Amino acid sequence: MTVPETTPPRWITPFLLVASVALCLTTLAALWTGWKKAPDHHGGPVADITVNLGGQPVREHCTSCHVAGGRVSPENPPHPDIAPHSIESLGCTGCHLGEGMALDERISHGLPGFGARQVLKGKDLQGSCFRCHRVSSLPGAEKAWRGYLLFREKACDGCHHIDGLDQGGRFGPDLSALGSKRGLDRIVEAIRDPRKDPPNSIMPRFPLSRGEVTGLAYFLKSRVEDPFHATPMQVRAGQVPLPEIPFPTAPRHKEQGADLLARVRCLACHLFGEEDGRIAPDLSYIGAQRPAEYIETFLENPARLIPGAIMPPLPMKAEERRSLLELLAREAVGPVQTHGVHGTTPEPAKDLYMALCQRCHAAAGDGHGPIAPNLAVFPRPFTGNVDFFRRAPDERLRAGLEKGVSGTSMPPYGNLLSQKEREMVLDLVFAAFVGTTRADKAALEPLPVRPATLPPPNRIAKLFIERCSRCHGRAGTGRGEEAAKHLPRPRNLGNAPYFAARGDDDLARAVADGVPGTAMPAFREILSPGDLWGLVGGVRSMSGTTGEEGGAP
Amino acid sequence: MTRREWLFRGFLTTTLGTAAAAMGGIFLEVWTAAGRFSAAHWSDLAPLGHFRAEGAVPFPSQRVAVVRRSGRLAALSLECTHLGCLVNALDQGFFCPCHGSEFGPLGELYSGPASAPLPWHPVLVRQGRLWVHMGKKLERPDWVTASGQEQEGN
Repeated sequence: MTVPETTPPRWITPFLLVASVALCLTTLAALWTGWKKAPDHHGGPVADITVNLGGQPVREHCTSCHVAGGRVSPENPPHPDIAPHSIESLGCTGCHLGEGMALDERISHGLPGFGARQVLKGKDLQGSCFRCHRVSSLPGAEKAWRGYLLFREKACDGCHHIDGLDQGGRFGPDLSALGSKRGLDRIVEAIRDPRKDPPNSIMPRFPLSRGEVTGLAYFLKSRVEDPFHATPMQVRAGQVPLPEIPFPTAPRHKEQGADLLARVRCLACHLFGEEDGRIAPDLSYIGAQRPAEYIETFLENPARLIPGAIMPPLPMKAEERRSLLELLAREAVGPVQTHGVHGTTPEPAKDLYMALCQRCHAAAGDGHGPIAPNLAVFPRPFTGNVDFFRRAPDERLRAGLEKGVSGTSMPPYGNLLSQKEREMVLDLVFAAFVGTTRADKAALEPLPVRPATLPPPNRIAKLFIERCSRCHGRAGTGRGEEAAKHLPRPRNLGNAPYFAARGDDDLARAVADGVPGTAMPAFREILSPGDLWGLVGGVRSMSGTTGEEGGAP
Repeated sequence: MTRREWLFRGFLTTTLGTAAAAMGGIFLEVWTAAGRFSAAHWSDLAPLGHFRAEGAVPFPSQRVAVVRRSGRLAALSLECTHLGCLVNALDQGFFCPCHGSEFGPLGELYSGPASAPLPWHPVLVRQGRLWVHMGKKLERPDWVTASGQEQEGN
């Protein structure tokens, strides 16, 4: 096959020639204007200094623009007095960071992105003090020192390991060299809004002031791979201990016993009496609510009793744990302290709700309580959830309040509140939030009959992947790819304590008719009775439960 | 062979031999020293009595967990296969605090962003103690029986 020969038009060659010349000229012009405009140091004399930092020769060109270390301006203001330090012996980048050898402003002041070498200036220089000095209450580094105190007081080391602390937690990422990896802005952002990056972060958002966050960030910025006060090996081996500080750092605990709770740093997150960490549930009455064995097991391994709990297992001395348990059994009992508004008609149910329920279920009853984002399981919303409450048998609601909901943060109130008080609170929830009466129940369609033989396990596994895994995840841990879209989040089907307390009928009901108020749809029309009951069995095997121990009536 | 030739040859052999021996010694020293400072060698973890219960015993500072299944032990790496963070050992498996990857009780991948299951390390039992080789990564567990422990227990 031959291609018919065509002659190109005659103008094409000169056109291409002109176009390429124009392109070259535009590129050159753009480069030239950029070059002229950019506040870079081009062509001029390059200042070059070399200093000895921790035994390492460090070469810098900073003084090419920053004459005598001052700011860049026609007046050439000198560098502020930093005695006993001296610029001649320390250079610039030891404290200010940045790339000392670069001559382009964007590079020499630290590239954006993670910004690990981003230049520190002004007050932010405190982020560098503890790179050379050991952590101590150093004059001039007050904010960074306060940051260290906060790091300990707020129990950051309960989750995050830092070299130099022998009791460092291993629950969160290691922060020993954070300063070498992230810029100050990124650290501040990560503390202020942990869920910005990554969105599924389990770190709670601590109620800290702007200044406190900055102090913490100064301290963390000084945790670097190559500090000047010791060799990296010494730091890694834990031979440079961070100073021990007494807890509590401020004598402000009126409550008896709050002292011990502050010392073991429960109050960094939990509420006890008047002291509130605003992260985690109320411990004021935990002694009356939970048996001592439960609390002991929980301290050892929180995720065993509440799978998905973000509380880390805290290393605690045996005697400390014993006195803590004794204290909670002795002090953390009722009666419930309510803060009713005086002078108006007494509303005991409302006061109880505000004292006990509001922290998780919210004052508006929508489940978005102040600590709800930190809980493993989203609190059941009352507002706008009438379908759920019309379907839930009254006995189940009463039992939930009396015995708690195992596998979640809902504690039992049986010992703390009398039956009359519990009924009062339930009535209030229905009247104020649910918007119906407790007697108003929906007529439930009968469940599909469980066939004598269930489909084989491989069919159930395939069905699970097809129908359930997008939300519940392939392994049923409740973290499928669409899980983050839904609140309440898809149930973790591996939550053994939760499923052990639920009967097979409850599970089948949820699969057949869905769960109102959540994203769980009804599968009654889609699945055959065999498949439906097979999936119930699948959930049983994922959670390792049998459904024989409990079961709602 | 003349005397001069013999002397020359002897001198050459001795010099070259000494030089070769010295170089060999230096190479040997470097070779062994390189292994001494890396994790790529057998290291002593804990006595077998440490692993009496079924489940995982994490050693965060060594970045390894020992898993016990029906009387057998194996060592699972605790480094997330996503970006190398240290994963938490929970009853239900392993959870990475950095980006939320989840792994099952035997390191199988449950959910991302990690894209591979946790690797295993070779283990061996020597004088009633468990040793782990951190430098090698295996796809399948290298089980050893915790027999020493059973004998102690009975």
